[in-house]
Amino acid sequence: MSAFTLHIVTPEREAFAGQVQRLSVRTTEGDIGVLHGHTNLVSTIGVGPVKLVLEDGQQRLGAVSGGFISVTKEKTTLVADTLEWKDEIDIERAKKSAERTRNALKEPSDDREQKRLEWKLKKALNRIRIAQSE
Amino acid sequence: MAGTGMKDIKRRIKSVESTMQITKAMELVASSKLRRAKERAENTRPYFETIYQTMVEIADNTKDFSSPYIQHTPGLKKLFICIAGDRGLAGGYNANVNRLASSMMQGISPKVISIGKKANEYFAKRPVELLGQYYSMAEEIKLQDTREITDMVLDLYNKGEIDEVHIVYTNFVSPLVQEAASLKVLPLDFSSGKGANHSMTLYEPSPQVVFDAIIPSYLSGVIYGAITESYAAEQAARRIAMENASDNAQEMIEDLSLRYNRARQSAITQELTEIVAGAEALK
Repeated sequence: MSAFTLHIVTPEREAFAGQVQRLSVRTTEGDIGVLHGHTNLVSTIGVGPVKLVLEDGQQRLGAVSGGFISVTKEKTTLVADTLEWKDEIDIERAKKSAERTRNALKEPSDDREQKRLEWKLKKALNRIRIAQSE
Repeated sequence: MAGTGMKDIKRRIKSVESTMQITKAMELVASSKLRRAKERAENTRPYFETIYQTMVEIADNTKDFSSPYIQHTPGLKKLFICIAGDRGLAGGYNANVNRLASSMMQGISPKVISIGKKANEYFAKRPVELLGQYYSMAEEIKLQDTREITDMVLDLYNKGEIDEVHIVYTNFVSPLVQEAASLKVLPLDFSSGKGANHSMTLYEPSPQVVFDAIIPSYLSGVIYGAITESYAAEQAARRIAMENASDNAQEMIEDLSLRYNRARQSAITQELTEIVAGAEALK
């Protein structure tokens, strides 16, 4: 299978740069898969998994949230607000954060706060799910 | 007399020495902070370059809809986001960036969001409308911390209360060179010249929605980047300023020691002359 160039950046670092066979990621509209020769696409990233299949067939799984993806003929760029690869996730921290956010969600101060907390909870649950997946 | 002169010089040497201890300590603190700040600024840079580049490509490929973020109306109601340091003693760092900001504001009365105590103090005394003041956020800043500013800016922009947004910050060129710089962030003014590159692009769910969703990411990304750059520049500027201060103190100490020794020598010579003259008179 032919490969394409992928760049993944977050504010903290360049999380990935290189050739991949396949990228699947969750957008706000649902999961999408990108293979070589995909049509030009711009979409927004939700909270969910990101999966790469590298050139040698190895897989990499991570938790992503926020940002956008741009697919062009030359390269694919994923600009994420946060991204951790599976082995980087601090599962204890995610669990604690989920717990705290759940408690705070019982009495949110206003709509905006509620939205923020819901987003945070989603992120924490996403991390836990990915860290525990096979 | 020579004796009192010696005492004065001794006291000055002591005071310069204690100043030098402080500048030396500050230099060490700044250089260790600089190391971390530099690393962070360098890690963040690919993000900005990519986010900006991608925005350019998207705007280039997008001729089939218009967005308030791209349309250019001549900017009259400008907003400046000014980033300076929280502390002084960093050479010309704070002065340079504040000067650049106020030169851009000449003749208009803009709205300002200031970040860093030194910017807050500076703009509090100027004829500008201060919308927000932030401080001590640069050292441990996270992307979420810029969201508050982003929300405020976009809210004003969409209400039409502002129509142009500039960031004034300091570019960390190298540990020895920092440059005050400004960046127009809104409206997007992309003129890369390759407008012919109009290929079919799929937007999900729709161009409008996608664009409106990535603008906040773009804006907070740029603010975040400007703050990390500025912070690294601040530490670098402070390190150089303190290094120079320590060098000057060292030079002063050497100079004063020489004068002290001379004064001491001349006091001894004088005493000897007096003794010899006294002995001579007794003969």
